[in-house]
Amino acid sequence: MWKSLNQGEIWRGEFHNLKKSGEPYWESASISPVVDTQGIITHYVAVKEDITRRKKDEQELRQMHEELESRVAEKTKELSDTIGQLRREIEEREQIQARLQEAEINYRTVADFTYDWEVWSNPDGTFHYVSPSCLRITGYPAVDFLQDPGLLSRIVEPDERKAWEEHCRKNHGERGPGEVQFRIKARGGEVRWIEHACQPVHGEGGEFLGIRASNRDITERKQAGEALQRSESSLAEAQRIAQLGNWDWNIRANSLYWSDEIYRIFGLSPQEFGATYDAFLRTVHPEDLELVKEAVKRALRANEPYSIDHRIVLPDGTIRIVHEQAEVLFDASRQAVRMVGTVQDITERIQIEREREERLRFERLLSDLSAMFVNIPVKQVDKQIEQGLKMAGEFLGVDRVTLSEFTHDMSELKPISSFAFPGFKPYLSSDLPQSAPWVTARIISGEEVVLNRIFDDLPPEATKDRVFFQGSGLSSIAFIPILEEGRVEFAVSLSSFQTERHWPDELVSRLRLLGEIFTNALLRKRATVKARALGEELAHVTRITTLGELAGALAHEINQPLAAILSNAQAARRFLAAGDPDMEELADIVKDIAEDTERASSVIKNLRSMMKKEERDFLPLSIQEVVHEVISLVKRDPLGHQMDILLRLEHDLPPVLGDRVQLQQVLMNLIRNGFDAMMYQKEGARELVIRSQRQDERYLRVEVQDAGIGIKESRLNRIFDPFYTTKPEGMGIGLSVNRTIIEAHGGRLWAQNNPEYGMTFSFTLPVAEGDHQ
Amino acid sequence: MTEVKATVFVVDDDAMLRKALQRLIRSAGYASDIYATAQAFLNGEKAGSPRCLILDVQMPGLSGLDLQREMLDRDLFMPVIFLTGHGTVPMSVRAMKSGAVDFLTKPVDEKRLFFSIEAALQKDVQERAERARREDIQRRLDALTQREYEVLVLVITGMLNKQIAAKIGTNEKTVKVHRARVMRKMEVGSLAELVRLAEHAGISSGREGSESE
Repeated sequence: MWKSLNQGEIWRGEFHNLKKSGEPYWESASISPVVDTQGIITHYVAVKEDITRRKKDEQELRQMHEELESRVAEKTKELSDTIGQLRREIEEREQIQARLQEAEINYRTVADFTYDWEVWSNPDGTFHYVSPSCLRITGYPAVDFLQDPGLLSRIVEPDERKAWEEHCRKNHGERGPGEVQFRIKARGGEVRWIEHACQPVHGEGGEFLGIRASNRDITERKQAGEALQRSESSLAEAQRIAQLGNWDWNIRANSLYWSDEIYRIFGLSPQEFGATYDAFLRTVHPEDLELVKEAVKRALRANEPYSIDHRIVLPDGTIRIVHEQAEVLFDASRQAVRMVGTVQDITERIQIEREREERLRFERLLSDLSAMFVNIPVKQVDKQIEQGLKMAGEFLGVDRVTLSEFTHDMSELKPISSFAFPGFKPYLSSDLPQSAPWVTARIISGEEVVLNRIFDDLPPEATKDRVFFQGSGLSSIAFIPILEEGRVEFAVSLSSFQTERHWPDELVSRLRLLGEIFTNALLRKRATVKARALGEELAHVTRITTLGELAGALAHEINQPLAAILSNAQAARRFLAAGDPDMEELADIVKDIAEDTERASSVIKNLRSMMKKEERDFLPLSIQEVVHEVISLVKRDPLGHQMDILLRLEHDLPPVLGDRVQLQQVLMNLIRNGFDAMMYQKEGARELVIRSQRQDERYLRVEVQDAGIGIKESRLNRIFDPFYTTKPEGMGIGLSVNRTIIEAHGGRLWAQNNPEYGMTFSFTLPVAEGDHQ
Repeated sequence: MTEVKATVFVVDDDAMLRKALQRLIRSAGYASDIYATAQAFLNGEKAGSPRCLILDVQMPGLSGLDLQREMLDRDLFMPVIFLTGHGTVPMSVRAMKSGAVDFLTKPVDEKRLFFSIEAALQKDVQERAERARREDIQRRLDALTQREYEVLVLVITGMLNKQIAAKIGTNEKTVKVHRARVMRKMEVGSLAELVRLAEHAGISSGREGSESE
């Protein structure tokens, strides 16, 4: 190096060196000596270049077959240039031939090592050269092709042979370069894709020398392409199914790529769509435009996630709802360059969700209404129905909801309860059966009648109905019949005046439930009112009956002292009239009169209190006293004095809070039941035991135990039912009234059979407040 | 006390009323005997003549109507005045049919009571006399032979001796003897007297009987 430098020459070279970090690198350098005027070298200038990357690239290029190919092509070009040049430069044919031969050798050397299957054919169609790669690609050695020029055409797949032959005809003459792809069947039977490129070769003098062709195995590329195609088509399919499309907006170029599905969603064809952001904005529903713009802006500026639902307007005016989701790609300088995202048509999903929500809300309404009607006092039923109709009206968005009832002859449909928003006629007229016979006939047959658009939905024959509805100002109306015991008795009507309301079938069938909730409450109310009236009547009848029975006993009770008083008074007068009366006797008489008067007046008091009772009077009273009072009455009963009554009354019982007369009535009834039960027992076996005792802290218990015939266990639960009786002449109301009375006192009444014979009725009564111990 | 007084018995379960009734009855000069139950009355001594019974219909145990029946069964003859708190028509009908003198409702006025008592006592006197008379006729009838009784039955129908003889298959003279014995034993002087006596004794004239034979 120094030798050449000292001679004033420039030195060039390459170094393999190590960086400080220990990393190896390649360096090229050129060193030039600088001389002064005397021609003496004063210093050197060195230019160094890091060529590591180049070295590495070269190495990589060598390894990559594509690079190899390009190099081959380059080489090929170089060679042909060289050939041309040589021809021009060297006139001698031998020289040309020799150079050509040399070039051929060179070419062959290269071709022998190319990955592709190189072919050089002679003008006569025979092969001059076939590169060894043919063995890898076709399974046949080069020599097979050289010896059998027809082999190539034969291994071309039959259905492509025509195309191949066409290519050969067109290109394999002296004409220009050509390309074709075809499949061959390799020796092992596998099919391979071949990419064939060929070019005629001409000599210096323009003479045709043959064809150079390169056959590349592109099977894998083809397969990959097919796979890609397949996956592309499945993606498109998936997009179609999901109604989801993807888009890619190149912000700088303002070009917008839409997948096919997006075009389908937007109802556009690629020609109609400008494929720009503005073109997209034109499809957005005007009301949602700001929302979309703002979301895009935020995503671009702040890289906020872009995920919005908005409406779009299709060219035919249809409105659909789409869900968009996108990401923004930024370049190194944080500039948004692309935005990629998806669009999904969620119109159906939203509709389904809305319907589902509506259904849920409706179900909630139904359950709220059901709950509302459970256990409400009868008095409030009407008010609650009206409230319920209001809730239904608000929910369904109608102007009026009416619950009506058919009269018995079905000639009228009378409104029972109605809710109308202010400004609307509160009721549908009750003469619907006359005015709208077609509609009424359908309601009576149990069909729902839904007239979304009254005039379109009424059939031509419903002329009367049409006239009627014309005058009503209604837009939509629905009637839901409500059956009661298989007969249409009620109807719920839903009316819309201004807007047309569309009723899905599903909703209509659910509206029946709504109507049933109202009518059930109504029927319950009616039944309760009826039962209550009946109950009151029964209680009255019982009272009268009991009073009648009592009156007999009471008449006796009153008559006894009255009779005694009268007799005593008359006796006294006689004694006085007779003169010299026995004063002691007279005093006795007067005392007795006073005592009997007291006795009579207490009976009368008792009777009076019994008669006047309509209002309840719960006062603290002694149950023992009540028992004694009743006993004194029943002893007079013709049956009563055939019975043995035993009293087992606990001492010092606290008072109970109750109505004396009602409790007397209960005891009287239970005791008489006991008598009746023992009527056919032998004398001496007719024992009625009345007990009163403390049950617990809060209750006393009274028992009436007879020694009668008892009752079948299976009937034990039924005896308290109204009108259930085991007595031939009984009305079956006594026990039911008793139970009502005891329960009104906050106690309980029950019956059980005794272990041996007869049965026991027991009832509890709460101890009067303040007397708990 | 050997003096036999008109006596009024009272059976009522109400002590106060019983006592009052007894006073009233005594104030009118009758003797009185009171019982709380029917059974006690049946078991008790029942002196007095004439006598009657004031009976409460509704009583524990044996009722008034039951007692009345029981008395008939025991040949205890005593006119009964029923006293009731609230009498029913069927009850009073039954009582009257069983021979009650009256059916009074409490409270009962003294006039009504004494009227009934007086009627009952009179009835008792009459019945006693009637019973005595019937017993006397019966005693006389008992003295008759079978043949004489047959003749008696035919005589009171108004048959002649000759007809009687034909009927019983004997001669007129024998009938005549029987007839005379009947008249003597029956202590009567005329046919009319005999007929009245027979009627009293409840012997039918036998006219229908003869026709049917």
